[in-house]
Amino acid sequence: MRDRHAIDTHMIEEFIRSELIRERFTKFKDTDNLIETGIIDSLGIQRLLLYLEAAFSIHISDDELIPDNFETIDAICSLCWEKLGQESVPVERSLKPYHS
Amino acid sequence: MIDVITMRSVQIYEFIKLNGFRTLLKEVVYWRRKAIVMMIDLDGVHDRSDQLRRLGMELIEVTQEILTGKKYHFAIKNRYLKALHYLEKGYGGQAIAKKDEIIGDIWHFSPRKSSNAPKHPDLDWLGIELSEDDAYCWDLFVMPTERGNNVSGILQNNAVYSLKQNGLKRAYGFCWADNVPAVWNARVVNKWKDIKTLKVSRFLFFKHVCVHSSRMVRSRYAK
Repeated sequence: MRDRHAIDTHMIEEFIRSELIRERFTKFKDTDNLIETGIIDSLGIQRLLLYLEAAFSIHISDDELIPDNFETIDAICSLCWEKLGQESVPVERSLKPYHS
Repeated sequence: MIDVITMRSVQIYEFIKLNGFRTLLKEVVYWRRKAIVMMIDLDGVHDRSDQLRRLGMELIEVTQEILTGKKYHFAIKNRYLKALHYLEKGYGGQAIAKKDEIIGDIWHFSPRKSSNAPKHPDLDWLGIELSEDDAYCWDLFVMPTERGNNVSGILQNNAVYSLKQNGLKRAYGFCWADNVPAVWNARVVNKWKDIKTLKVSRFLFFKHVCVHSSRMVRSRYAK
């Protein structure tokens, strides 16, 4: 279970680093809040959803477009695992709280 | 007076040019499309114009002087015609300018600020009743080549920030659930709250709306 989680985390991280992060985010850390830092913007979320839906054969509905599901890579992984019908595995990195 | 037929013709032509005919068709013929009605309490809205400045952009209020002056010009003709149309009706607008080019705009109606303007037609089918302290925002547009970098999110935020500076308390709006960037900007980035969802069917000029779920059918602030 943990291995698969690690693979998923790596895949999502790789996608975000290679497809969404631009030069201004070279100092991006795994625990950075992807929303507050602007790493996922309104165009990036479209690409990320397309990627997640294709990579994991899941459908993410508009109701699930909430900060809790996308603020960190771990949160995105948890969402994918829940969509796959798996129990959400404990995340190894601490989640940075989203201040609303 | 703006020729509405010319405005619509240019709008359709430019829409097809930018998005293709199939997308246009999807905008005028749909079945049970989900619309999310949202609201934001303006107390929690803060100025983010510094983010625009870092991108070499500025926020301006759309006025007759802006439209007739030589300092700025609209990058897209139908947005210019729409701006003329909306200002003529008495609605208010905010825009983003990059150097001398207006690359995005958003419009608002408020019973207090736009006292001579007719009630916006969306309010009826969305089922929103505005109080004196409320505003309705619609028609957020950013040129496709300028999207990204959260430009549309900043435009939406600072447009409602300007309403806050004018003493208003709440802003309402809606977005289609299938418009992921719009939902992302409003709900996730700018923290607008969902108040209800509607299922809307449309065939050209005919529209049918039914309430899908509702946490607040009528603004509790409306008189």
